[in-house]
Amino acid sequence: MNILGQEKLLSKLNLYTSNTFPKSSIVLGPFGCGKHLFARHVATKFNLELIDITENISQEFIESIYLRVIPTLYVIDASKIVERQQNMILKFLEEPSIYTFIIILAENRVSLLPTILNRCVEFEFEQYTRETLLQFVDDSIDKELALSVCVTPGQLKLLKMTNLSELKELCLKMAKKTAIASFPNMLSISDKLNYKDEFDKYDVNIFLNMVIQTLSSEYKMNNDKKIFDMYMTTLKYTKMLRDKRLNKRYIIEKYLSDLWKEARSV
Amino acid sequence: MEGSKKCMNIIELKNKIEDKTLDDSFLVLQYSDVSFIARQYVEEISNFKNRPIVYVDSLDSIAESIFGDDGMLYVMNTDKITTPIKSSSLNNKIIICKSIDENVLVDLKEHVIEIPKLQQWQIRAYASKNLPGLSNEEVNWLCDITKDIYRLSNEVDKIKIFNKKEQSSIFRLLNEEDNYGDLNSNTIFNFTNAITKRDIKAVKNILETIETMDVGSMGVMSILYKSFKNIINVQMTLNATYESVGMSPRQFNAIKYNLGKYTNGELVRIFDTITSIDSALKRGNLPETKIIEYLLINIL
Repeated sequence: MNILGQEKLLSKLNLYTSNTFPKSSIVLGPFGCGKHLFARHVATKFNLELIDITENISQEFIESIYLRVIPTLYVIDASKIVERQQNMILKFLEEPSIYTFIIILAENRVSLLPTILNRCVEFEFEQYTRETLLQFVDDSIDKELALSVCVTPGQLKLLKMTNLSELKELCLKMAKKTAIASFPNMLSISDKLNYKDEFDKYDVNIFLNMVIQTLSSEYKMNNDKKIFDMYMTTLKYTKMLRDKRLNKRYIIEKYLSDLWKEARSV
Repeated sequence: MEGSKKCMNIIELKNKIEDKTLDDSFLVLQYSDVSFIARQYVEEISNFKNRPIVYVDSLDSIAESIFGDDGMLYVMNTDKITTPIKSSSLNNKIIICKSIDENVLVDLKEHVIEIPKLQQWQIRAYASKNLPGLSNEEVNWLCDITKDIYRLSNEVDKIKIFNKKEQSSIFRLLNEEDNYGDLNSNTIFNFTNAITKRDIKAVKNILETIETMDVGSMGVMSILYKSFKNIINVQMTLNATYESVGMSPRQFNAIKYNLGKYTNGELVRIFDTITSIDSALKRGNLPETKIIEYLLINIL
């Protein structure tokens, strides 16, 4: 299994044997960094069956796990479960059966309850270097543009499905025409984004990264204060989106509303 | 007892309702597990005959109108019919029941239509038909989680008032916020409608009821979000038509009558308030119990 550019993470993993590998762990890293791949790597390395239980978390299901006698690595994607379910797995994390290993995949610590963080050993992905990321870019897309908006191999993979020139044009329009757009026009941008498995739409993170990149170059060219304000607002909401508890659509629409008002302010 | 027609089966009844050929004869709808289907048939009959339903405890107690037909559809819902029906005229009267005493059955036999047990596929078909905007997976999920038909029907009512295009997104919103099961649909929709119409008196009346009920405030918020977004789309789009804002003509016209209750500036401010509540709540800046108060203070 090939996890490029994550030597530190892999050497931490190599310190463990099947007897010492923690029963409950968290893998941290941004979208598309390879958290699922890492979980598969762990399962192979320690000869465990891998089962993703994200969609099945319930009291009954967790109880049924205690009856299994096959050494298994259970994977839970924290971005897809609600706080109530996080509370439900606490006991499972604390007292797993001898055949049970649990890995929680999360983009950041803030999306997890402190009680979960306390019970798990952390494995964190490092930021990918430009050189590593270049290995994931083929000649069909603009490499510089791709690396300016993507920070993980998974995002680069998504970018291949994105019409980059259309996305760039949309971001340019936002930079130049927000002041004359109607409010419904502005909000309609939200409908072009993928909030849940709508892969024909733009990924929210890629979209915001492209807006940041566009506003930054527009500001360098025109030195316009309003563009600078839009840039700062975009940064603020990009940061806010890291909190996976929050509803992405509401954040994006509040962001678009703020941009629209800023563009009209005197 | 009037009427000497041969008794119908459920298929014949369905066809007659669809063809609008069902006459005013007395009907007894006998179910085997839940009365849900029988009630659905009663509603369909009421719709096509344009007769409001009046539920009564006993058909015998209905006073005959001195002016003849009073335009109502009288429905008696009982577990078991144990005594003979004595009413002089049984036209436009329906009994929904689970069983009939053998002695009474002899007289009623020709009016009885047996409603078969509700099958799982029928439940899914009911949800799909009412929620054409949901995918099969979403319908299946909703059917599975609601478990019984009454609860499903309650959830279906919440979503079906939105047009086909919006149903999936409102379903997801309600689902994402983990709202299923805690809403009383009538209260919620009366409440949100009163807010969007800026009908302060109605809001006040409903609030008095809400205090004694278990109302999902996040559900209120999700529906207000969708409703205000629709108003914004129509009110703030220059020369809006139903096509330009992607709505059905019916929905567009319904929203058009609610325009102007709030200024454009107020609409933007309300939209900001609604879209900020989620993060305020999840970051611990606003307790869930205060959401409705917060919404009202910032909207009305």
